[in-house]
Amino acid sequence: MNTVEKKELHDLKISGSGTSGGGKFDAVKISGSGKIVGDIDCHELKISGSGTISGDVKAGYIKTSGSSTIKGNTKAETITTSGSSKNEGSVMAAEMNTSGSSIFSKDLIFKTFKVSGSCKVEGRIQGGSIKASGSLRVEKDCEVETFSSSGSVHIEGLLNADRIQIEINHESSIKEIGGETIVVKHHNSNGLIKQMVNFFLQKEDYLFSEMIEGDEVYLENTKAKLVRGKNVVIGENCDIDTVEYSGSLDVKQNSRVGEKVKF
Amino acid sequence: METDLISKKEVLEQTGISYGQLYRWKRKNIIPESWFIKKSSFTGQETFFPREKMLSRIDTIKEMKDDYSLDELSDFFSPNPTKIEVHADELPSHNILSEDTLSFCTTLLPARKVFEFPDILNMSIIEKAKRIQVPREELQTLFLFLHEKFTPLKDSSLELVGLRKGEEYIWMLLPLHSELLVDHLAQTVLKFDLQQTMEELKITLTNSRGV
Repeated sequence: MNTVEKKELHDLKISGSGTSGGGKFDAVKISGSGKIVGDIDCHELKISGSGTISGDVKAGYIKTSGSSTIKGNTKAETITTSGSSKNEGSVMAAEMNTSGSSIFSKDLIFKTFKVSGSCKVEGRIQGGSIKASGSLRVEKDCEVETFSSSGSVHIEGLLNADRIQIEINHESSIKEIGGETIVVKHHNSNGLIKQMVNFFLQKEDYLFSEMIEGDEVYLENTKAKLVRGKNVVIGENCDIDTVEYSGSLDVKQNSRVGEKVKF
Repeated sequence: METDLISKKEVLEQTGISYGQLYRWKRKNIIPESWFIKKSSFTGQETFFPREKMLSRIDTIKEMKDDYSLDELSDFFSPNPTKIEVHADELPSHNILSEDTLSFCTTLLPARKVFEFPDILNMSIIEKAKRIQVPREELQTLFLFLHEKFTPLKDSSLELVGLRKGEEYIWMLLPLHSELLVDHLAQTVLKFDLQQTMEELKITLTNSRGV
Protein backbone atom coordinates (compact mmCIF):
# COMPACT_ATOMS: atom_id res chain seq x y z
CA MET A 1 0.00 0.00 0.00
CA ASN A 2 2.70 2.40 0.94
CA THR A 3 5.01 1.59 -1.91
CA VAL A 4 4.21 4.83 -3.66
CA GLU A 5 5.51 6.72 -0.66
CA LYS A 6 8.68 4.70 -0.59
CA LYS A 7 10.53 6.64 -3.19
CA GLU A 8 14.19 6.02 -3.01
CA LEU A 9 16.43 8.99 -2.62
CA HIS A 10 19.08 9.56 -5.22
CA ASP A 11 22.67 10.54 -4.84
CA LEU A 12 24.19 13.76 -6.06
CA LYS A 13 27.76 13.58 -7.24
CA ILE A 14 29.76 16.47 -8.51
CA SER A 15 33.24 15.63 -9.63
CA GLY A 16 35.02 18.03 -11.87
CA SER A 17 33.21 21.25 -11.93
CA GLY A 18 29.49 21.44 -11.57
CA THR A 19 26.49 23.20 -10.20
CA SER A 20 23.32 21.86 -8.67
CA GLY A 21 20.17 23.44 -7.40
CA GLY A 22 20.01 21.41 -4.21
CA GLY A 23 17.16 19.25 -2.98
CA LYS A 24 16.66 15.99 -1.12
CA PHE A 25 19.26 13.30 -1.55
CA ASP A 26 20.67 10.20 0.03
CA ALA A 27 24.35 11.12 -0.37
CA VAL A 28 25.91 14.26 -1.76
CA LYS A 29 29.52 14.13 -2.84
CA ILE A 30 31.54 17.02 -4.17
CA SER A 31 35.05 16.13 -5.17
CA GLY A 32 36.06 18.75 -7.68
CA SER A 33 34.77 22.21 -7.53
CA GLY A 34 31.07 22.19 -6.88
CA LYS A 35 28.44 24.72 -6.24
CA ILE A 36 25.03 24.05 -4.82
CA VAL A 37 22.63 26.89 -5.19
CA GLY A 38 19.83 26.11 -2.79
CA ASP A 39 19.03 24.05 0.28
CA ILE A 40 20.18 20.51 0.83
CA ASP A 41 18.57 17.75 2.85
CA CYS A 42 20.56 14.54 2.81
CA HIS A 43 21.89 11.64 4.84
CA GLU A 44 25.47 12.26 4.03
CA LEU A 45 27.40 15.21 2.66
CA LYS A 46 31.02 14.86 1.66
CA ILE A 47 33.12 17.66 0.25
CA SER A 48 36.68 16.90 -0.63
CA GLY A 49 37.52 19.54 -3.19
CA SER A 50 36.14 22.96 -3.04
CA GLY A 51 32.45 23.21 -2.36
CA THR A 52 30.06 26.05 -1.84
CA ILE A 53 26.51 25.65 -0.68
CA SER A 54 24.50 28.80 -0.70
CA GLY A 55 21.44 27.49 1.13
CA ASP A 56 20.67 25.66 4.37
CA VAL A 57 22.02 22.19 5.00
CA LYS A 58 20.29 19.42 6.90
CA ALA A 59 22.27 16.23 7.05
CA GLY A 60 22.96 13.16 9.11
CA TYR A 61 26.66 13.25 8.53
CA ILE A 62 28.87 15.96 7.07
CA LYS A 63 32.52 15.48 6.22
CA THR A 64 34.60 18.12 4.55
CA SER A 65 38.26 17.88 3.84
CA GLY A 66 38.97 20.47 1.18
CA SER A 67 37.74 23.94 1.33
CA SER A 68 34.05 24.35 1.95
CA THR A 69 31.65 27.19 2.47
CA ILE A 70 28.10 26.87 3.69
CA LYS A 71 26.20 30.11 3.53
CA GLY A 72 22.96 29.03 5.15
CA ASN A 73 22.25 27.40 8.49
CA THR A 74 23.53 23.91 9.13
CA LYS A 75 21.95 21.13 11.15
CA ALA A 76 23.59 17.74 11.39
CA GLU A 77 24.18 14.77 13.65
CA THR A 78 27.92 14.65 13.06
CA ILE A 79 30.20 17.19 11.42
CA THR A 80 33.85 16.49 10.75
CA THR A 81 36.00 19.06 9.00
CA SER A 82 39.67 18.76 8.34
CA GLY A 83 40.43 21.33 5.67
CA SER A 84 39.36 24.86 5.71
CA SER A 85 35.69 25.37 6.34
CA LYS A 86 33.51 28.37 6.64
CA ASN A 87 29.97 28.49 7.98
CA GLU A 88 28.22 31.75 7.44
CA GLY A 89 25.00 30.64 9.11
CA SER A 90 24.40 29.10 12.51
CA VAL A 91 25.55 25.53 13.09
CA MET A 92 23.85 22.90 15.20
CA ALA A 93 25.31 19.44 15.63
CA ALA A 94 25.37 16.62 18.12
CA GLU A 95 29.01 15.89 17.48
CA MET A 96 31.51 18.31 15.98
CA ASN A 97 35.15 17.73 15.10
CA THR A 98 37.33 20.31 13.45
CA SER A 99 40.98 19.81 12.83
CA GLY A 100 41.81 22.27 10.08
CA SER A 101 40.91 25.85 10.10
CA SER A 102 37.28 26.68 10.62
CA ILE A 103 35.28 29.85 10.86
CA PHE A 104 31.75 30.13 12.19
CA SER A 105 30.17 33.49 11.52
CA LYS A 106 27.13 32.89 13.71
CA ASP A 107 26.26 30.77 16.73
CA LEU A 108 27.53 27.26 17.25
CA ILE A 109 25.47 24.73 19.22
CA PHE A 110 26.56 21.14 19.91
CA LYS A 111 26.73 18.28 22.39
CA THR A 112 30.41 17.58 22.00
CA PHE A 113 33.03 19.59 20.18
CA LYS A 114 36.65 18.70 19.53
CA VAL A 115 38.93 21.38 18.14
CA SER A 116 42.45 20.60 17.21
CA GLY A 117 43.20 23.15 14.52
CA SER A 118 42.31 26.75 14.55
CA CYS A 119 38.74 27.70 15.12
CA LYS A 120 37.10 31.06 15.17
CA VAL A 121 33.53 31.61 16.27
CA GLU A 122 32.09 35.04 15.67
CA GLY A 123 28.85 34.28 17.48
CA ARG A 124 28.29 32.45 20.73
CA ILE A 125 28.93 28.87 21.70
CA GLN A 126 26.43 26.74 23.54
CA GLY A 127 26.67 23.09 24.28
CA GLY A 128 27.79 20.11 26.26
CA SER A 129 31.53 19.74 26.22
CA ILE A 130 34.47 21.31 24.41
CA LYS A 131 37.91 19.88 24.10
CA ALA A 132 40.24 22.31 22.43
CA SER A 133 43.85 21.62 21.73
CA GLY A 134 44.63 24.11 18.99
CA SER A 135 43.60 27.67 18.93
CA LEU A 136 40.09 28.67 19.80
CA ARG A 137 38.77 32.18 19.45
CA VAL A 138 35.24 33.15 20.44
CA GLU A 139 33.91 36.65 20.04
CA LYS A 140 30.90 36.27 22.32
CA ASP A 141 29.97 34.05 25.27
CA CYS A 142 30.91 30.41 25.51
CA GLU A 143 28.46 28.46 27.66
CA VAL A 144 29.01 24.72 28.00
CA GLU A 145 28.90 21.99 30.63
CA THR A 146 32.60 21.17 30.55
CA PHE A 147 35.44 23.08 29.00
CA SER A 148 38.97 21.85 28.59
CA SER A 149 41.72 23.40 26.53
CA SER A 150 45.42 23.05 26.10
CA GLY A 151 46.32 25.43 23.29
CA SER A 152 45.58 29.07 23.05
CA VAL A 153 42.14 30.34 23.90
CA HIS A 154 40.70 33.79 23.43
CA ILE A 155 37.16 34.43 24.55
CA GLU A 156 35.91 37.96 24.42
CA GLY A 157 32.77 37.28 26.43
CA LEU A 158 31.97 35.02 29.35
CA LEU A 159 33.22 31.47 29.66
CA ASN A 160 30.58 29.66 31.68
CA ALA A 161 30.87 25.95 32.47
CA ASP A 162 30.52 23.59 35.40
CA ARG A 163 34.04 22.30 35.02
CA ILE A 164 36.73 24.42 33.45
CA GLN A 165 40.21 23.06 32.87
CA ILE A 166 42.68 25.25 31.07
CA GLU A 167 46.25 24.28 30.38
CA ILE A 168 48.29 27.33 29.56
CA ASN A 169 50.97 26.90 26.95
CA HIS A 170 50.31 29.95 24.86
CA GLU A 171 49.17 33.39 25.69
CA SER A 172 45.44 33.27 26.28
CA SER A 173 42.74 35.67 27.31
CA ILE A 174 39.22 35.17 28.61
CA LYS A 175 37.32 38.23 29.65
CA GLU A 176 35.23 36.58 32.32
CA ILE A 177 35.16 33.06 33.72
CA GLY A 178 32.37 31.63 35.84
CA GLY A 179 31.63 28.13 36.99
CA GLU A 180 31.89 25.54 39.68
CA THR A 181 35.42 24.16 39.40
CA ILE A 182 38.03 26.24 37.63
CA VAL A 183 41.55 24.92 37.17
CA VAL A 184 44.21 26.83 35.26
CA LYS A 185 47.57 25.07 35.02
CA HIS A 186 50.79 25.93 33.30
CA HIS A 187 52.07 23.38 30.87
CA ASN A 188 55.80 23.18 31.50
CA SER A 189 57.51 22.94 28.18
CA ASN A 190 61.09 24.02 28.01
CA GLY A 191 61.22 23.99 24.25
CA LEU A 192 63.92 26.38 23.13
CA ILE A 193 62.12 27.26 19.94
CA LYS A 194 59.03 28.18 21.80
CA GLN A 195 60.97 30.37 24.18
CA MET A 196 62.55 32.11 21.20
CA VAL A 197 59.22 32.65 19.51
CA ASN A 198 57.74 33.99 22.69
CA PHE A 199 60.74 36.27 23.14
CA PHE A 200 60.44 37.74 19.66
CA LEU A 201 56.69 38.08 19.77
CA GLN A 202 56.96 39.60 23.23
CA LYS A 203 54.45 37.11 24.49
CA GLU A 204 54.36 35.18 27.68
CA ASP A 205 52.44 32.13 28.75
CA TYR A 206 49.76 33.78 30.78
CA LEU A 207 46.03 33.70 30.97
CA PHE A 208 44.65 37.22 31.12
CA SER A 209 41.23 37.72 32.63
CA GLU A 210 39.18 40.44 34.23
CA MET A 211 37.17 38.27 36.52
CA ILE A 212 37.23 34.66 37.61
CA GLU A 213 34.40 33.34 39.77
CA GLY A 214 33.95 29.78 40.94
CA ASP A 215 33.41 27.60 43.95
CA GLU A 216 36.75 25.83 43.71
CA VAL A 217 39.44 27.85 41.98
CA TYR A 218 43.03 26.84 41.29
CA LEU A 219 45.22 29.18 39.24
CA GLU A 220 48.71 29.19 37.80
CA ASN A 221 50.23 31.70 35.36
CA THR A 222 47.19 33.91 35.54
CA LYS A 223 46.89 37.66 35.53
CA ALA A 224 43.48 38.80 36.68
CA LYS A 225 41.83 41.80 38.22
CA LEU A 226 39.40 39.95 40.44
CA VAL A 227 39.15 36.36 41.60
CA ARG A 228 36.18 35.29 43.67
CA GLY A 229 35.41 31.94 45.11
CA LYS A 230 34.78 29.71 48.02
CA ASN A 231 38.12 27.91 48.15
CA VAL A 232 40.84 29.62 46.20
CA VAL A 233 44.39 28.48 45.53
CA ILE A 234 46.70 30.97 43.84
CA GLY A 235 49.54 28.86 42.46
CA GLU A 236 52.80 29.89 40.83
CA ASN A 237 53.28 32.94 38.61
CA CYS A 238 50.04 34.73 39.27
CA ASP A 239 49.33 38.39 39.49
CA ILE A 240 45.90 39.07 40.94
CA ASP A 241 44.67 42.48 42.02
CA THR A 242 41.95 41.30 44.37
CA VAL A 243 40.93 37.92 45.74
CA GLU A 244 37.60 37.60 47.52
CA TYR A 245 36.85 34.28 49.18
CA SER A 246 34.42 32.80 51.65
CA GLY A 247 36.19 29.56 52.56
CA SER A 248 39.94 29.23 52.30
CA LEU A 249 42.72 31.02 50.47
CA ASP A 250 46.17 29.65 49.77
CA VAL A 251 48.75 31.81 48.00
CA LYS A 252 51.95 30.13 46.80
CA GLN A 253 55.31 31.84 46.39
CA ASN A 254 56.14 33.70 43.18
CA SER A 255 52.66 35.12 43.11
CA ARG A 256 51.30 38.50 43.92
CA VAL A 257 47.88 39.16 45.37
CA GLY A 258 47.09 42.83 45.85
CA GLU A 259 44.19 42.58 48.23
CA LYS A 260 42.68 39.65 50.08
CA VAL A 261 39.10 39.99 51.27
CA LYS A 262 37.30 37.35 53.24
CA PHE A 263 33.52 37.57 53.36
CA MET B 1 14.60 52.39 34.61
CA GLU B 2 15.26 49.50 36.94
CA THR B 3 15.80 51.13 40.28
CA ASP B 4 16.38 48.52 42.92
CA LEU B 5 19.36 46.39 42.04
CA ILE B 6 21.25 43.74 43.93
CA SER B 7 24.86 42.78 43.28
CA LYS B 8 25.89 39.26 42.42
CA LYS B 9 27.87 38.99 45.63
CA GLU B 10 24.87 39.97 47.71
CA VAL B 11 22.67 37.47 45.90
CA LEU B 12 25.04 34.66 46.81
CA GLU B 13 25.33 35.83 50.39
CA GLN B 14 21.61 36.24 50.91
CA THR B 15 20.44 33.07 49.24
CA GLY B 16 23.33 30.78 50.01
CA ILE B 17 23.63 29.49 46.46
CA SER B 18 27.03 28.76 44.97
CA TYR B 19 28.76 30.25 41.94
CA GLY B 20 28.31 26.93 40.21
CA GLN B 21 24.55 27.02 40.70
CA LEU B 22 24.21 30.62 39.60
CA TYR B 23 26.17 30.06 36.42
CA ARG B 24 24.41 26.75 35.73
CA TRP B 25 21.04 28.46 36.03
CA LYS B 26 22.19 31.24 33.75
CA ARG B 27 23.31 28.68 31.20
CA LYS B 28 19.98 26.91 31.33
CA ASN B 29 18.16 30.20 30.87
CA ILE B 30 16.37 29.74 34.18
CA ILE B 31 17.67 33.18 34.99
CA PRO B 32 17.24 35.32 31.90
CA GLU B 33 20.24 36.87 30.27
CA SER B 34 18.57 40.30 30.42
CA TRP B 35 18.65 40.23 34.22
CA PHE B 36 22.44 40.25 34.22
CA ILE B 37 23.10 43.97 34.30
CA LYS B 38 26.71 45.00 34.00
CA LYS B 39 27.81 48.14 35.74
CA SER B 40 31.23 49.55 36.26
CA SER B 41 32.39 49.68 39.83
CA PHE B 42 35.66 50.43 41.54
CA THR B 43 36.86 46.86 41.06
CA GLY B 44 36.19 47.03 37.36
CA GLN B 45 32.90 45.54 36.37
CA GLU B 46 30.22 44.16 38.59
CA THR B 47 27.04 42.30 37.73
CA PHE B 48 23.74 43.39 39.20
CA PHE B 49 20.24 41.94 39.08
CA PRO B 50 16.76 43.37 39.50
CA ARG B 51 16.47 42.70 43.25
CA GLU B 52 12.90 41.56 43.69
CA LYS B 53 12.67 39.48 40.56
CA MET B 54 15.99 37.80 41.22
CA LEU B 55 15.33 36.90 44.84
CA SER B 56 11.84 35.59 44.16
CA ARG B 57 13.13 33.63 41.16
CA ILE B 58 15.78 31.96 43.27
CA ASP B 59 13.18 31.09 45.88
CA THR B 60 11.02 29.50 43.21
CA ILE B 61 13.92 27.55 41.78
CA LYS B 62 14.94 26.30 45.21
CA GLU B 63 11.39 25.16 45.89
CA MET B 64 11.01 23.44 42.56
CA LYS B 65 14.42 21.98 42.03
CA ASP B 66 13.79 18.87 44.10
CA ASP B 67 10.75 17.96 42.06
CA TYR B 68 11.91 18.94 38.61
CA SER B 69 15.11 18.48 36.64
CA LEU B 70 17.10 21.48 35.48
CA ASP B 71 15.90 20.96 31.94
CA GLU B 72 12.30 20.90 33.04
CA LEU B 73 12.86 24.10 34.99
CA SER B 74 14.48 25.58 31.95
CA ASP B 75 11.30 24.80 30.04
CA PHE B 76 9.16 26.64 32.59
CA PHE B 77 11.24 29.75 32.57
CA SER B 78 12.42 29.91 29.01
CA PRO B 79 10.65 32.48 26.88
CA ASN B 80 9.27 29.84 24.53
CA PRO B 81 6.02 28.49 25.86
CA THR B 82 6.17 24.75 25.76
CA LYS B 83 3.54 22.63 24.16
CA ILE B 84 1.07 23.32 26.89
CA GLU B 85 -2.43 22.50 25.74
CA VAL B 86 -5.53 22.42 27.82
CA HIS B 87 -8.77 20.82 26.83
CA ALA B 88 -11.68 23.24 26.86
CA ASP B 89 -13.53 21.16 29.46
CA GLU B 90 -10.54 21.14 31.78
CA LEU B 91 -9.80 24.82 31.66
CA PRO B 92 -12.22 25.86 34.44
CA SER B 93 -10.57 23.39 36.84
CA HIS B 94 -7.32 25.33 36.70
CA ASN B 95 -8.95 28.29 38.42
CA ILE B 96 -7.15 30.83 36.31
CA LEU B 97 -10.09 32.22 34.45
CA SER B 98 -13.52 33.17 35.65
CA GLU B 99 -16.49 31.71 33.82
CA ASP B 100 -17.34 35.15 32.53
CA THR B 101 -13.91 35.77 31.01
CA LEU B 102 -13.86 32.35 29.47
CA SER B 103 -17.16 32.72 27.70
CA PHE B 104 -16.35 36.30 26.76
CA CYS B 105 -13.12 35.28 25.08
CA THR B 106 -14.26 32.07 23.49
CA THR B 107 -17.00 33.87 21.60
CA LEU B 108 -14.30 35.98 19.99
CA LEU B 109 -12.28 32.96 18.90
CA PRO B 110 -13.16 30.37 16.32
CA ALA B 111 -14.67 27.39 18.12
CA ARG B 112 -12.08 24.90 19.36
CA LYS B 113 -11.79 22.02 21.73
CA VAL B 114 -8.23 22.48 22.81
CA PHE B 115 -6.67 25.74 23.91
CA GLU B 116 -3.03 26.34 23.30
CA PHE B 117 -0.78 28.30 25.54
CA PRO B 118 -1.02 31.68 23.74
CA ASP B 119 -4.82 31.61 23.93
CA ILE B 120 -4.83 30.88 27.63
CA LEU B 121 -2.22 33.56 28.16
CA ASN B 122 -4.28 36.18 26.35
CA MET B 123 -7.36 35.19 28.31
CA SER B 124 -5.53 35.48 31.59
CA ILE B 125 -4.45 38.98 30.58
CA ILE B 126 -8.11 39.84 29.98
CA GLU B 127 -8.92 38.43 33.40
CA LYS B 128 -6.38 40.79 34.92
CA ALA B 129 -7.54 43.76 32.87
CA LYS B 130 -11.09 43.15 34.06
CA ARG B 131 -10.00 43.69 37.62
CA ILE B 132 -9.07 47.26 36.86
CA GLN B 133 -12.48 47.84 35.36
CA VAL B 134 -11.80 48.23 31.71
CA PRO B 135 -15.09 48.52 29.83
CA ARG B 136 -16.22 45.47 27.89
CA GLU B 137 -15.84 46.77 24.38
CA GLU B 138 -12.30 47.86 25.21
CA LEU B 139 -11.56 44.39 26.54
CA GLN B 140 -12.71 43.05 23.22
CA THR B 141 -10.33 45.37 21.39
CA LEU B 142 -7.54 44.28 23.70
CA PHE B 143 -8.21 40.60 23.25
CA LEU B 144 -8.35 40.80 19.50
CA PHE B 145 -5.25 42.96 19.47
CA LEU B 146 -3.33 40.39 21.49
CA HIS B 147 -4.74 37.56 19.44
CA GLU B 148 -3.53 39.12 16.21
CA LYS B 149 -0.34 40.87 17.17
CA PHE B 150 1.14 39.16 20.18
CA THR B 151 3.10 36.02 19.42
CA PRO B 152 4.56 34.81 22.70
CA LEU B 153 6.59 32.25 20.80
CA LYS B 154 8.59 34.93 19.09
CA ASP B 155 8.61 38.06 21.17
CA SER B 156 8.94 37.51 24.84
CA SER B 157 10.39 40.65 26.37
CA LEU B 158 7.40 42.82 25.78
CA GLU B 159 5.31 44.93 28.03
CA LEU B 160 1.62 45.52 27.57
CA VAL B 161 0.68 49.10 28.29
CA GLY B 162 -2.81 50.53 28.41
CA LEU B 163 -3.40 54.27 28.17
CA ARG B 164 -6.59 56.08 28.86
CA LYS B 165 -7.60 59.55 27.91
CA GLY B 166 -11.16 60.43 28.71
CA GLU B 167 -13.19 57.49 27.51
CA GLU B 168 -10.59 56.35 25.02
CA TYR B 169 -8.28 53.42 25.65
CA ILE B 170 -5.13 52.66 23.73
CA TRP B 171 -3.30 49.32 23.95
CA MET B 172 0.35 49.05 23.16
CA LEU B 173 3.03 46.39 23.08
CA LEU B 174 6.39 47.90 23.94
CA PRO B 175 9.85 46.52 24.54
CA LEU B 176 10.34 45.78 28.23
CA HIS B 177 11.33 48.73 30.41
CA SER B 178 11.06 51.26 27.63
CA GLU B 179 10.48 54.75 28.79
CA LEU B 180 7.08 56.16 28.02
CA LEU B 181 6.10 59.79 28.39
CA VAL B 182 2.49 60.79 27.95
CA ASP B 183 0.71 64.13 28.12
CA HIS B 184 -0.88 65.11 31.39
CA LEU B 185 -4.43 64.33 30.33
CA ALA B 186 -3.58 60.74 29.55
CA GLN B 187 -3.22 58.11 32.18
CA THR B 188 -1.42 54.79 32.18
CA VAL B 189 -4.03 52.35 33.42
CA LEU B 190 -2.21 49.09 32.95
CA LYS B 191 1.31 47.78 32.65
CA PHE B 192 2.10 44.08 32.38
CA ASP B 193 5.48 42.49 32.04
CA LEU B 194 4.42 39.81 29.58
CA GLN B 195 7.40 37.59 30.16
CA GLN B 196 6.63 37.46 33.84
CA THR B 197 2.94 36.88 33.20
CA MET B 198 3.91 34.05 30.93
CA GLU B 199 6.15 32.39 33.48
CA GLU B 200 3.54 32.67 36.18
CA LEU B 201 0.92 31.10 33.98
CA LYS B 202 3.24 28.31 32.94
CA ILE B 203 3.95 27.45 36.53
CA THR B 204 0.29 27.59 37.58
CA LEU B 205 -0.75 25.43 34.68
CA THR B 206 1.90 22.86 35.41
CA ASN B 207 1.33 22.84 39.14
CA SER B 208 -2.42 22.55 38.98
CA ARG B 209 -2.15 19.72 36.50
CA GLY B 210 -2.19 17.11 39.21
CA VAL B 211 1.33 17.29 40.59
